[in-house]
Amino acid sequence: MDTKGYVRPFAAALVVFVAAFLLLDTLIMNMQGLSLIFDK
Amino acid sequence: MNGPRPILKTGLALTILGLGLAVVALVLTGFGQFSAFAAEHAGAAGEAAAAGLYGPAPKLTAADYPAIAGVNGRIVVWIVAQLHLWFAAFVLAVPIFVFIIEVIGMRTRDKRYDDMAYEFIKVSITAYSLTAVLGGFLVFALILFYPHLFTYLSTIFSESMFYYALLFFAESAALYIYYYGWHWLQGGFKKWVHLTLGLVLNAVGTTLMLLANAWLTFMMSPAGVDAAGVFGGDAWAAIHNFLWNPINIHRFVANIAYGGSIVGAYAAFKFLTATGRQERAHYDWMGYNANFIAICALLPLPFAGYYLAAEIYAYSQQMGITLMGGIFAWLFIIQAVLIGTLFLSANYYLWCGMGRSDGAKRYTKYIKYIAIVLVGAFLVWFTPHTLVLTNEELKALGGPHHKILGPLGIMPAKNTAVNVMIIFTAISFMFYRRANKIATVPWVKAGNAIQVALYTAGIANIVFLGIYHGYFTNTVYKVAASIPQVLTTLVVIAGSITLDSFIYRGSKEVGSLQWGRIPERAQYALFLLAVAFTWLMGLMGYIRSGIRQHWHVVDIMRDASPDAFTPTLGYAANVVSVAAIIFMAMVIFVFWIAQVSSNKTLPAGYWKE
Amino acid sequence: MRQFLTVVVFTLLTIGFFAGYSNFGIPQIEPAPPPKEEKLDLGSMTMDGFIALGERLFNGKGTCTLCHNALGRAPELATVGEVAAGRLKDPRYEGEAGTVEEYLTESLIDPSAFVVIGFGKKGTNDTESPMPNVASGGIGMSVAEVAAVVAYLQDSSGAEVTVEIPQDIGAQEDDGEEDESEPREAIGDPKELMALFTCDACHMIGGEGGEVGPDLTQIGASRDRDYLRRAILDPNADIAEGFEEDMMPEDMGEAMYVAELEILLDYLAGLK
Repeated sequence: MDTKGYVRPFAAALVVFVAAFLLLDTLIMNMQGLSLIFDK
Repeated sequence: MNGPRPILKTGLALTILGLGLAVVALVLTGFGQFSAFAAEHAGAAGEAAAAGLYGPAPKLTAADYPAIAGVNGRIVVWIVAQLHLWFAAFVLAVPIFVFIIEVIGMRTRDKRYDDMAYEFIKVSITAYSLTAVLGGFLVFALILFYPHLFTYLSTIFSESMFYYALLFFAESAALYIYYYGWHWLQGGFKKWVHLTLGLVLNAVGTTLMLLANAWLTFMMSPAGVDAAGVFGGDAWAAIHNFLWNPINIHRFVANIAYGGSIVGAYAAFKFLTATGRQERAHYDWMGYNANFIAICALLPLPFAGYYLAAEIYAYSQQMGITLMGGIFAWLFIIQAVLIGTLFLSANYYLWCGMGRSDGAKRYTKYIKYIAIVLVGAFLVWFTPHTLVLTNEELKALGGPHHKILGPLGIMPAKNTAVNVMIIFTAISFMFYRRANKIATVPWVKAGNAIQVALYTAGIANIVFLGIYHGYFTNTVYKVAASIPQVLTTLVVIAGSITLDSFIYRGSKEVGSLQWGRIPERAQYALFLLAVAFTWLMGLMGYIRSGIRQHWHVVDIMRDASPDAFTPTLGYAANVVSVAAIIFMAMVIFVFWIAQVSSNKTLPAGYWKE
Repeated sequence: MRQFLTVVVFTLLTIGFFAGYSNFGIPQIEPAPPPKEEKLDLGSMTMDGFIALGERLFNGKGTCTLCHNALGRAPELATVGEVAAGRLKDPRYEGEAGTVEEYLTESLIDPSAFVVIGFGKKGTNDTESPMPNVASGGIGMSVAEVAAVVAYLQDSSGAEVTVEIPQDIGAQEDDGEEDESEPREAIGDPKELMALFTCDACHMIGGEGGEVGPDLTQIGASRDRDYLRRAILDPNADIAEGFEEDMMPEDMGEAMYVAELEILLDYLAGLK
């Protein structure tokens, strides 16, 4: 396995993307007004 | 040559542009007046009602529905309305992407695009007159079989029906100039005039659809009338009812997908009957583009559908429960089969299309995995939501959901499945795009690694959201979690396309694309797409109409006819199938007519020399 | 031509598959027929029978007693026959009625024509009535049924009954069970459940809802699950102080799935 060329960028990018998506989830799920739309 | 002619041409072009702008102005001022009129009426609404200008919705008995020659009025109206809708959807959608293809042609100066756009609009011309004819039939059928309903609706929508007629003339004018003037309005300024006409055509067409949508959404979520159905005089309130915009959005997107699939079938038909290599290459390319349009519009469609369903729920819980529970729960299983068919055939077509490139071999080994995931996601979606039918079944199952399959039957699981299907279709498409290219940037390995990481993180996030919010939080979050899921899907697709465009900047081509080098069975995937789309639209038309149950206008005007009952799914499927067969026969006629117009017979010795 | 036929056959097979699946792949459920419209036999009805019909409608289908009762959510109707004549002359009267009968009919169809002081919608300064039109979709009384209610109101308030039994109008009587005949999907959210069974029409939670039944905002603090279960399944077993008997429907046990009852009890017991 080509550690330097493939695994490292993959791991780095994965950490960044997972963090970004989790941030997105948190932001949206706690967004003000969401409960107004869905809490019927 | 340089005498008065260029001036004349410019003059003519200006006249056309002027006419086009006049149509726009007419539309705009018409609507300005219309809303001013509506506002004025709104102020006087109380007076109008008090003065008895409008009566309450009539209370009907079975005798109010004429029996004509033993014909079942409901089936006639059903089939004619469905045929009208199919053609209208097609006819409204084609100018939208023809306009876009024309712009692409202008930007790239690649004449192939212009020719393809012209061929698309040519197919839609015959369909346009069929739309009008079927619209007329629909009005006749309504007046014949449902006279009181038609009278009631036309007292409320008389103004908008008037504008509808005017707009229809404008639409016809714009379409005919756009089509017949295609080869005349070429080059430089004239091309801009032609493009403007295309814009006018689309503006008028979309407005027509919005007006027609107002009538049917009024029947589902009446507004602008009081509880007895007495119209308050405010036409805008009746048009701008609760479900109007949700239906508008859903139909607009669906029409584009549908239009793409029908011209895809046209291209497939021409490909199969083509004789020369060049012709095959042309129609292969056309089919590819049509399929691309259909898929692009198909991707956001589930979300537009969820939005519509959520709004129906918000408007009336009763209607929402009718929609998602009871007998209609099984309808969504049929829908799942059809949507699965759509996704699988679209992907299959892309995979077959990879044969056009010699570089595709590098990716073929991954395709089987995509296929496995797609089928898996399809099966999750296919899992029935609620299996409860009778109390005996309830007891036998021990609850409303199946013990093992139950967790897969709820909405978060289906949301997850849809998003996964869409992402994997995007992967198929990425493979297709990459098939003929070799990246030359030095960081290609890292780039690919980042791509894989993006997809991995995205899919993980979608699955996480589905499981965590679907099973471990309350109902509010179950529904709300679909929003970050959708956003994740969009971010992954947009990010992947952006990243790929950087990776493949300055890339080498493996070889020129071999258009026409595609197995014939791929063309059947295009047919399957068109037929499944058609049938699915018919089925969803049944449920949209069916959730009104025994009401013409929900809670206001009751359907007292012997046909007020909600038909079983099998019955509805049979009606839809018959309508779909009629439609397909008419479509084949349209294709044939488009072909005939370019055929020439030279009868030797017939005309005197 | 061969290609053409192949395409036709392929199309027919595809449609055939979809139709076949819809017919044989899934169970065929006969949806509940629309609620029946029974003809009232008005021709052979006596005035006493007509008034009795009005009373049944007043207490049943019309859902009038939900508000027009001793708790005072809506005006008392025991003397309406006498006070109606005065209301016609009231400067606040906005209707078109000339007689008591016309006034009563109007107030059933257009309740805002005259709003008794103190009974208007909040914030409308008694110009708008919270009462629905009884002929509208929700209640859906026919013209004959409205007439029967008016006859009952005149009779019960001691006024002269001027209503004539309509002869030529077909009256409808909904069986009112259209919603229950189809199996409903079980609901997992207690708030949705309470919305479905319209608990808030009578019970207040957190400042929203009616006052016909006890306030449930902190019901979990004073009542346990067993008490609440009995209160839902057999509402008249123990009436809270200051409230009327027979106000709460007794068929909650049949209308609700067992799982739903438990979810609701969890929720109510948690309100502290």
